[in-house]
Amino acid sequence: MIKRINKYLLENYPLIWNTRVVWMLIILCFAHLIFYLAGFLSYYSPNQLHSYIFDNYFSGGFIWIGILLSILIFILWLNQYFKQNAFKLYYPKSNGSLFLEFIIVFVVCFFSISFYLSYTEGLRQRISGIVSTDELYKEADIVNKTAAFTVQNSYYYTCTNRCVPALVFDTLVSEDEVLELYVWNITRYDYDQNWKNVDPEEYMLYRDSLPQPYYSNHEFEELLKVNFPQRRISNVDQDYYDDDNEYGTDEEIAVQEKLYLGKYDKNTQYNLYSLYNYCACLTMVDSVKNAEYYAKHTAGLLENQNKDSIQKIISSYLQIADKYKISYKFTEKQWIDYIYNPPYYFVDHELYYNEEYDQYNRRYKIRDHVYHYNMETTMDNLLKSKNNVIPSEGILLFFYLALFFAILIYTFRTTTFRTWIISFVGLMALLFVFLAVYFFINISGNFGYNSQDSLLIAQTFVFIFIFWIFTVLGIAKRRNKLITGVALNWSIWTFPLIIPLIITRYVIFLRNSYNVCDEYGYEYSLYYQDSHYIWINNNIVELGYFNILLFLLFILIVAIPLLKKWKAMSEE
Amino acid sequence: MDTFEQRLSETSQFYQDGDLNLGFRRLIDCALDTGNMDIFKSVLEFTDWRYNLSEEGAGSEEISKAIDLLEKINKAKAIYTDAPLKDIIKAEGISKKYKKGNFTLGPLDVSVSNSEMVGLVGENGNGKTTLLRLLGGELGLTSGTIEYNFPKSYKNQYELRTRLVYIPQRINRLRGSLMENLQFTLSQHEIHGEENELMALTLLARMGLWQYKKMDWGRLSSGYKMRFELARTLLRKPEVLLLDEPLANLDILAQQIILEDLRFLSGSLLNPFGVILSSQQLYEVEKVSDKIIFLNEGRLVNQSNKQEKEEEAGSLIIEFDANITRDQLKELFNQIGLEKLHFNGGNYIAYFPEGVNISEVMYLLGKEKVQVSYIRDISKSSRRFFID
Repeated sequence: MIKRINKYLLENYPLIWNTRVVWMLIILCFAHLIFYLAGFLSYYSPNQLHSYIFDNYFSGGFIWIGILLSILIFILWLNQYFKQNAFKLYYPKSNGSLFLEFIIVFVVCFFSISFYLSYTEGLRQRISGIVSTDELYKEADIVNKTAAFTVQNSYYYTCTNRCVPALVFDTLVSEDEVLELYVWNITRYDYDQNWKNVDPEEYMLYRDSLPQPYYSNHEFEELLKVNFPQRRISNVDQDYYDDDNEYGTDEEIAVQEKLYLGKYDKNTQYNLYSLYNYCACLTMVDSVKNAEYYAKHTAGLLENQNKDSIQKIISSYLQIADKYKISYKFTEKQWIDYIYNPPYYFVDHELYYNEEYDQYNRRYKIRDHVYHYNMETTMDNLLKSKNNVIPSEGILLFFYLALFFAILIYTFRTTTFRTWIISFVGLMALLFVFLAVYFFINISGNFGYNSQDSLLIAQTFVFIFIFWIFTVLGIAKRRNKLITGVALNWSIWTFPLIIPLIITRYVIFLRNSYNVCDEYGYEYSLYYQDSHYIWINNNIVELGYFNILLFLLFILIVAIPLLKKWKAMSEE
Repeated sequence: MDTFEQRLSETSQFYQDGDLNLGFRRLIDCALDTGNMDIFKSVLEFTDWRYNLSEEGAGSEEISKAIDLLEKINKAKAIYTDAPLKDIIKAEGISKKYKKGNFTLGPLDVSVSNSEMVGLVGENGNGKTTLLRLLGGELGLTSGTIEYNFPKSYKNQYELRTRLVYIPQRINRLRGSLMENLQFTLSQHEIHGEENELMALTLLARMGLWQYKKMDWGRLSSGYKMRFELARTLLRKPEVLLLDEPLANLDILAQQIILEDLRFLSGSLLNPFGVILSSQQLYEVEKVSDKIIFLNEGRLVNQSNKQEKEEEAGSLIIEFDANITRDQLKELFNQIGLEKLHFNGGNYIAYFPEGVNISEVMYLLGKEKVQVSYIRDISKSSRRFFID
């Protein structure tokens, strides 16, 4: 069967036969299928979802199998492909056939190195199959609603995090009070007069500069402290205030502060962490259901002191936790008892650390906990599996890698071994010269950061330009086949650099034309506000593909006719 | 009787005379001229049968089968037009000076017409390879022009190179089996399907490579490699074939067969082509060539001048090897007016004045019962070679 197909291809489609593309595609399809299955089967337990799973190809060692297989496939393929070379033997070969040959080499290269894509796709589909999209969204909703109750880290519960109103607190401190302290804080110190009085009328002028919402300012928290003497923890930095300092003695400060804000208690730390303050959404499903949305929901439950509803949500959450094997334990107290603390819902326990050293028994014991971070990561993995796991830049990277190999293989086929090897070694040497020139100019001149990049780009353009001069002159005059061949190889190899270099040069230009100095004299640039820059940034992947298309067009219209002319040249 | 019929009847005669190998080769030549797939099939069946013969004495059966086949070929008719001979390569005043070294070829004029065979002879380092590479486009001219007048015009330089075939002394290495290489060559030249296979097999049969069709190229002996190279080249239907020392590394029999084949194949009715080949084998080459080019220190030793010189002299030059002393020889040959006696490379070369005949020389040697192991009239061979 294989023999018959080979014979048919040999007799009718010599290029297809010569490149072994049919067999290569079959073998590569098979290899990709294996990798797809390996990816599919590499998921076996929900525990895997607790950390980022889609880098499994790299962390699981599959990358080495992939690389080895790529090398093996390349060796076997090139050995077969290089058996015949119609162009080298001066058989009739149309431009179209030469172009098709490049495309075949490109395609084979792409599929020979991109096993990662199939593996990850297999894994993605497996993960995606764990739960339906609708159900996942429902689960993510529950997880987000419960997030405030998981109390993983007190940091999330500080006053400054709050993004929705909470009447229990907001009735205690008014916006005017916050504003007053805010203005006092920013104006209290004057170089000439030390402590400065602020006219009550005057601070109203600052109203617009107060960050909103007003309760998220730390002044709010400072003012709040006075209402909760029972939540006082300890004095902080007593030593600092004990000694004389630039603001005057302790007593002076106390007097000053009392003068203006009798309620202000600066030196004492209070635990004012509250469930009301939680405002985060790590697993966002859609733009409407954002952190604020869930914060409002939580605030509603807390305000209504709706213990049953909270319990219901927690129970749903624990069901999901069971499903994804998220670790939790509540034996000492019920979860709700850790958090249900109306009306202020102060947070006194973190439910993250699960181990505690038992001094008495001299061993670690498991504490009550719930691993919400694992739940977040699980949700993140599941949500990613519903969309694309590999960013479009990732796929583009494989295209460029394939292009790199394809160009090397193709020029090896169309020029001669000698020309190619001299081009290859020569380019390395040239790179050395290139960098030497770059460093020499850099050391001898005083160049800024921006001009260094421009210099490198300008230098590259000069080199590319020289390659083209040698190529065109050599072919036009039909002299120096070897040198012309080397220049032609270099021209072809460096062509894909042209567009990226132009774009980079343009971005540098933008960077330089938007230079501004800030109030401290530091120079920076506002180029990222330029519409061209924004366009380039948004379309960088598309530009990458455009560059590949342009290169293919270049191969067809410029490189192939030049290669043919070069091939027909006499040796000496 | 046209050329084709004449060739068929010659072939038939070879068979009747029992010269089966020559007959077989000429039979395929005639078959190739028909360009007829049915004929190819019959030839391949015949070839297969012929190579499967176990016993020696099947000659008569082979002859009758061959005669039948020739009859069939005759009915199929050859496709050809008796196009007048014209120069397909015409080089005028060409010269080549290498950048390194002080060797200069030319300036000289060379031409070759289709189905013409030109021998290029001269000592080593006299520019034979340079001339061939110039004509084949492998080297650039320092001065002069080369005109390629092919029946089908070429569009660009690459296309020209596809039609000029230069076979260097060291044949380019190929990979894969013989059949693969031939079929690949054919399909690259737009010959597809069944025709592709039949043509490839017929050429293998023609060049005596039938048994090796599945063998890898690398395993062929150098003689067979040259035959294969010819087979591969013929499938490319070249306009002109430039061969550099094709006879080197070949045994004497292989040399003769290659030369004979070149002669036959270039005279194909369907695809005639010109041949220029360089060689050290003066005698063998001059026997088959239509024209001989002598190169000496990069210069063409003009044919007509030499011819005139020879005719003026009209002397007899005999090359021979005999078990006799030099003095005895002189004494013997002085009877018929020996002019010069040279000893060169183990052979004597004796010069006699005009009017002396080789039979007189042989008579003298015979009379004295001298043991002669080799004798050749090189004056006559030269004359034939220069007169053309």
